[in-house]
Amino acid sequence: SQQVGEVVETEFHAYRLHQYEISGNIYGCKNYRVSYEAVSLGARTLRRTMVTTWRDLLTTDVDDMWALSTGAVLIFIPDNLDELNDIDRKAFIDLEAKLLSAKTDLAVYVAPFNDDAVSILHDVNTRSEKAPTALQHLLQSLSGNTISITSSDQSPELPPSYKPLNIVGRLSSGDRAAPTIAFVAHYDTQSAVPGVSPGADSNGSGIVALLELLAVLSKFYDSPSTRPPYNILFIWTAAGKLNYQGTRHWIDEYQKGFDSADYAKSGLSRKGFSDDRVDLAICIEAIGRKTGGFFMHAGKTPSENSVAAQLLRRLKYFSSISPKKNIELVTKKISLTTVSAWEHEKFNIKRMPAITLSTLPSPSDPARNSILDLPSALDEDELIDNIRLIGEAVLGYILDLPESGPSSDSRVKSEATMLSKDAVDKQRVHHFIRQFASRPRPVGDQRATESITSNLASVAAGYGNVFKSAVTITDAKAFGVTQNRLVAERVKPAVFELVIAAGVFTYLSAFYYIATHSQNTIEGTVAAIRKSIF
Amino acid sequence: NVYSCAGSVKSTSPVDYSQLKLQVRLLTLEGHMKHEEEVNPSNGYFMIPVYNKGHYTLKVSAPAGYYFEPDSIEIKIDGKTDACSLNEDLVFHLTGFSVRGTVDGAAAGLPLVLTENGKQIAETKTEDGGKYEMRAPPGKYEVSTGAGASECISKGKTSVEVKNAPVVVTPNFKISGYQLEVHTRTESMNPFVDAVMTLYATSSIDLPNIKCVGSEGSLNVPSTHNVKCSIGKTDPRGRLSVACVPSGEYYLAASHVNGPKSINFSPNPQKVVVSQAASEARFVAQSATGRVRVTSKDLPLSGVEVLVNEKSGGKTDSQGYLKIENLKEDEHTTITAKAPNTQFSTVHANVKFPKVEIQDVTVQKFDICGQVEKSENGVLGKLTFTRKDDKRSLEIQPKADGSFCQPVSPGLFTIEPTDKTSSLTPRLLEVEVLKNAVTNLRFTHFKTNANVHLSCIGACPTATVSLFLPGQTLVRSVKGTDVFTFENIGPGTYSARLDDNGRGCWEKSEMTLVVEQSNTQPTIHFKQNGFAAQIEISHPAEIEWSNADKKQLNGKTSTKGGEVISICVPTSGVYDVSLGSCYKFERQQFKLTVPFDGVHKEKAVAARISGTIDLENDKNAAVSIRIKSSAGDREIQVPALDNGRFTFEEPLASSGEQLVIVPSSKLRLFEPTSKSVTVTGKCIENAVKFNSFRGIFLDGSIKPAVEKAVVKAVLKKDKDVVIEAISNKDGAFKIGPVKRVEDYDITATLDGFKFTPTSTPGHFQSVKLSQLSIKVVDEVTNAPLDGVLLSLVGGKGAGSDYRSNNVLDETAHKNYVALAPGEYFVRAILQEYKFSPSTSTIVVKEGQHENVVLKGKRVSFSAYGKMREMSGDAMKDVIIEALSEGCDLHQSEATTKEDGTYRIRGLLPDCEYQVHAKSYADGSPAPHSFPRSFTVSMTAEDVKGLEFMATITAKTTDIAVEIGMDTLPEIQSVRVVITKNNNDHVQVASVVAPQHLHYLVNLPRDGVEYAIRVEAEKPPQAFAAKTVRVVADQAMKVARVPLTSSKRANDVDISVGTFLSLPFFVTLALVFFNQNRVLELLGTFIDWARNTFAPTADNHHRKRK
Repeated sequence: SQQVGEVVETEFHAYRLHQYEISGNIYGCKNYRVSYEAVSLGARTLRRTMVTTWRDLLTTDVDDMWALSTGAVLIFIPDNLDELNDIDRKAFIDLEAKLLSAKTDLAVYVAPFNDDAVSILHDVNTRSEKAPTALQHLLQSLSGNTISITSSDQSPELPPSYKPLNIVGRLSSGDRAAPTIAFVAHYDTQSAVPGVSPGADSNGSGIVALLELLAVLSKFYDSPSTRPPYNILFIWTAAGKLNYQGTRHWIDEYQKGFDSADYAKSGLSRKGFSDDRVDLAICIEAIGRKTGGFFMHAGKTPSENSVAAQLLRRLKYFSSISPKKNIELVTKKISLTTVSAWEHEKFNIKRMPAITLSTLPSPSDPARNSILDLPSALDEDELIDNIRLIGEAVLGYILDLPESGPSSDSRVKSEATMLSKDAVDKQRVHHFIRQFASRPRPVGDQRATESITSNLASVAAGYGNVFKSAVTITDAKAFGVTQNRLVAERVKPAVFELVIAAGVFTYLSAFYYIATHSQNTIEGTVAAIRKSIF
Repeated sequence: NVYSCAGSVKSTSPVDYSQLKLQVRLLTLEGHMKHEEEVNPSNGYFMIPVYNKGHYTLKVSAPAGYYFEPDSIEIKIDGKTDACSLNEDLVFHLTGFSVRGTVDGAAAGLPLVLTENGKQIAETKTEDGGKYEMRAPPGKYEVSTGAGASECISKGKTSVEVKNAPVVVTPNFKISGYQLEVHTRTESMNPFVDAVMTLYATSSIDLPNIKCVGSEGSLNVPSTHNVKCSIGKTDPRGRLSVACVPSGEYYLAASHVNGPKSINFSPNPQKVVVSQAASEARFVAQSATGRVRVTSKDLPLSGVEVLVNEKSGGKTDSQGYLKIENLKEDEHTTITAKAPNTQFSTVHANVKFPKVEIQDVTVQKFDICGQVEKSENGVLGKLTFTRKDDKRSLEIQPKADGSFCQPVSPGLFTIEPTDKTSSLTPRLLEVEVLKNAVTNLRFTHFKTNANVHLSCIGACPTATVSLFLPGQTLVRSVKGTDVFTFENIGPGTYSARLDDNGRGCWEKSEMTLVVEQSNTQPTIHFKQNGFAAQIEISHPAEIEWSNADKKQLNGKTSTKGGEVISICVPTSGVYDVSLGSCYKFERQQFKLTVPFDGVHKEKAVAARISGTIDLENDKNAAVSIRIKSSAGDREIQVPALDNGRFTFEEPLASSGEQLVIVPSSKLRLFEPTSKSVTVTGKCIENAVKFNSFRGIFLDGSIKPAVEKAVVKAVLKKDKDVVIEAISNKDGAFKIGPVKRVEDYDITATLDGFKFTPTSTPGHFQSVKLSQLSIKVVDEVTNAPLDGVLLSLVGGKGAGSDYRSNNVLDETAHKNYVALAPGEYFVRAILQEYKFSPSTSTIVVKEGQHENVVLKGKRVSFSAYGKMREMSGDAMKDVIIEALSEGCDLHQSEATTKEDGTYRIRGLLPDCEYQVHAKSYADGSPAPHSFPRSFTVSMTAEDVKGLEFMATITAKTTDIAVEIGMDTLPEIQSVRVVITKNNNDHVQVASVVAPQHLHYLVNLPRDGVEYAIRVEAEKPPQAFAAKTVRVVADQAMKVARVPLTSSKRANDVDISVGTFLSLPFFVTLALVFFNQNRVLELLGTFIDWARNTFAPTADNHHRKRK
């Protein structure tokens, strides 16, 4: 229903603070339902929705607020995060940190700032302001607008049937006994507000890198003569942000052989996978930033002859030719008890050789889980260079090219790179970024997850064989409602209703008077008419 | 792998190769020189190492003037079938040398020929300055000017002998004569062909093909020109050129004589002066002389006067000919003849030079004239002429005086009185009118009787005598015994024949009876001189008979067979008859009782076949022949005395069969070994002829004596015929029997010895052989060199045939055993190594052991590498090329082996090479490789590990279809139809939400336009189908397909009420603004309503009532 002039009801998308559970600990906000009157941030009252902007929140000590048991918080954040200046950016990262650490029963939502937000905030703030006089304050409390915010009802629990998929693409050398190189990248995103963070670098760049490597390397597998004697797997794992659930699931499946149901679905013989001997799993995460190089993260320094060491040497060799890059090895001991820091650790736990390639120096880098991990932050050229570098190094390894270039003889010179300049295609990478690295895809968003897996399977099927397997999430839990539709209604206060009741009474009284005197009036009128006619 | 292309340069003449410095060059097909090798000066041997398979050309490079056959040899080395891989000899024959010289004063273009015994071997034309060069094998030649030369060299030709080197003809030629050209034509300007030209000179001209003889003088030729030279006939163009006529004054005469026909030329003879240039003489044919013949029915008539153009031209000779002179071409000349009682045809002379044709003048009619005697009653009987050949007849009425004269065409006629009952005789007269007219026939009425008497031995048998007129016309037959009388026959010549049924023999059984018009009766006698018996012999035979009692009564006759003949015996009685023939008869001798009625017949049963064997007067040959036929074999001894002549008889019944005759003897060999004869049913004389040879046992020897040498004699014609023998301790052996020792190749072999045949076949000279050890090492390291190609060639004393090419193994050591003593040339060849000197001479002495070490210096180096697929599989047969731009495009290449490895040899230090995959060995383009090429800065050390990997080359396009399905959440699935080239279906796929991307990858990047159509799957009209087009020209093409609902969300349903609202409000407004009018109208309406409803009310009331 509308009223001429002012909107009394407005509907907008809001994104819920994260909620997940790992090892029995629940993080983030536990509630999702909002059906409370809006109040400003200062008003600490139960059963109210505190409406605020992110800047206001920054300056507030929110720990008390989180402690409340009922109610909700709605935080407006800038509608265009790309345009934040450096100071704001820093501030926003601080806010993220606050939100990440939050653990509350409140339903916490963020929504991008817009005209409705202005109106709502105005109303909320007006009410909360102290009037100059008592009368004015009384009048204001009698006639001023109150805003009620309600959420559409949904359950944060995902349906039990929902299982995110691991997507595996495979290039086969034709020889079952051939060794295997696996590229691994988790495809989900996570941040304090999962519904708004596209995770362009972490791990959109990983998804894109695997897709592009698949496209590039698949050309070699088209004909038997050019087919390298290695099988290559491209594994897009689910729920990476939930302690690499998909990775763990794939390794379990791999080590015990394929789950019968899944393998029946894939149409491949059971042997198809169980014979694969993974020489090295190369996990890729966040390689799309311009940092002038990247790190190889490993559990320990790889031994001289290990595949990882060879790969590192090759990476260093190729990065010494233009474009020059700095490749460094970072080792970090694996903790078996805590959450895995890098994806490769899941392999290492199961005694499979694996490393992670990333521009991030440390697993604790906040950029891995930032809302600000936006596509605009990606440097496409850098990403292309990195993909090329990885592709070149891996190709050199599987084709058994000499590590230090085609010839180590100082008298011999030759071109060193196998891949042509345009082998990694700018347009294709751009397309992959737009399609796979530009939208939020938290594991809690069933629709987004299903969309990305089906599209990933569609690409991978173009270049190689595709297998899907549903991931069972253990010792962790994802929750739904990453976003919600909120309705803000403008309502008058209860006292105002008394004024209206008085008006109604007056109206009824007048009606009663007219009704009781109507007989006489009608008769007189009829007589008058009669007189006039006859 | 090294292939050695070895062979030799051979020459039939002894050539000193060392002076020639002959080289054999190995060239690539493009003509680049790969290798140059000197030919071994002592024996012409060469050997060229080839390190790569491929196409090459071998060429001999020699000083100018040496020619080789073949000029070059093309070799395609494939490692299996080519001459080099098979170690076959490549032979260049030195076939010719140049013959060079100069003709002084000759201009360019003077044709010269080189002839050997008149046969042209080579020809050329002089160049500027009169220089010339020709090519010829060794031999004796003559150089002379060729056909068409207007000048000729001194003497016309010079002898040249080509031996073993190019020849310079000295002294230079001088021009000695000039061309004389003769033209002959007719007056009508046509060329006159075949005019015979004769040149009269003061002295003999020495020119080829021209004969000069002394002349007894000729008309109009001065007696100073007493040498007559026939220079030939004019050609179809009427020309004749004589090449080399020396300067001088000549008389030239033309003639053309064809039997009796001849042509007269003018002017004839002509004076011709030849000096310093070619000269010319022209003759015109003016008239012809021909002859005519006068004939009657092809019989020549002699002595007949011939009229030429109605003037007497003379009388024909004995053959009927008469010469007619001065016949002009195309002139009308009529020729006929004149004789009494004769009419001749008239002919025209057909003269078309050099053809002179005059048809025979033939008799058209001869007169037959005669006299018919009047009968007693004065009647003059008519005569009927009947032509014998066509039986046409003609009736003649004599004139009143009884004479008649009838012209008839030549032929045979019978003339008889028309009235058969008339008594005119002769009753029939045969007249021959062929050569002349018949003028004196007489028909009279005279008749007389003729008597025939028989004189018999003993009693005369009953016989018949028949009387015939000429022409075998039977007049009458009389049967009787000893006297026969023919009554009333007319005058004429008759023949009388006696027939006694063959019982007797007569001196003559046919006699001539002449009846004349006289009173004496003509009488003839038949005299019997014996008795006859008739015999028929089937085949030719000599028949001999003799009286059984009186042997002196004998005689012989012969028959050609198949006819009945009589034999005449003087007395009757029993006779023995014997038949002599090459046929065998049922009875060769039989008895015959004479006289004998009937015919005695004898049939032949077999025919004799004879042949000869040339036994070379060998009386002890003891030769027999075996005759093989279907009936079985027969063996016949050939008599030695008759020098191998043999005969045998073959039944006539086996006619058509083949007999095989095989001679055999223990001492002799026959040539041919057998022969076959077809039986014809007739005697065959000398049906077969064999030659025979006495078999020979060869006593061979080996000196100095070598025991147990294996001697083999192999028949040259048939290598399967091998006779083996082993020498004894004296070195002697025996081989035989053989026909001719020369027919066998006799060799002796024994390890460690060399046997050289002496000039006497079967005798060998033995040489105990020596040993030679050769080792090849690196000059610096002294390490043995692997893969050295070692070539050992025999020189002086060792026999220049000896040659051995070996590729050494890693020990680089080779032991030659059993080498004949003498001088040897050894060469070591190894790519990248240089051996100096390139050829060493080793003298091997008999029985000694020589040790030779050859040292090589490494001068160029190798690049090693491999080519493989990405899958790791080796790639074979790829040519890897190393090319150095800086070092004069120095090039070297190698082909990858089975395992993909290659080694490019011969790379020079301090050169920078580009090493790349050039092509496949079969010429197809090489695959793209990684790396594309290696740049190698070569040093004095090998380069290793140049590994190529074949890469993919095809560029592809991926198409990504982004379907805007999020804009229409209700759409669950869409169909993507991808087509190219206007509706070629590429793919149809279904995209089901939440998927919204679709990919089509690995398309060829060929610029083809793809149309991507996205349409609703169900319901059909959920959204408008949309087509996006992309062109496959990049690695990735993105097709964005936004979807828009066909039903717009903002559309408002417009109801009918909406349309009615406007008039309603307009009406309302009208009512408001015209209230008075409306009230008025309302009042009127109420009035009307009242009036209308009042009656109704009345009715109502009525009803109530």
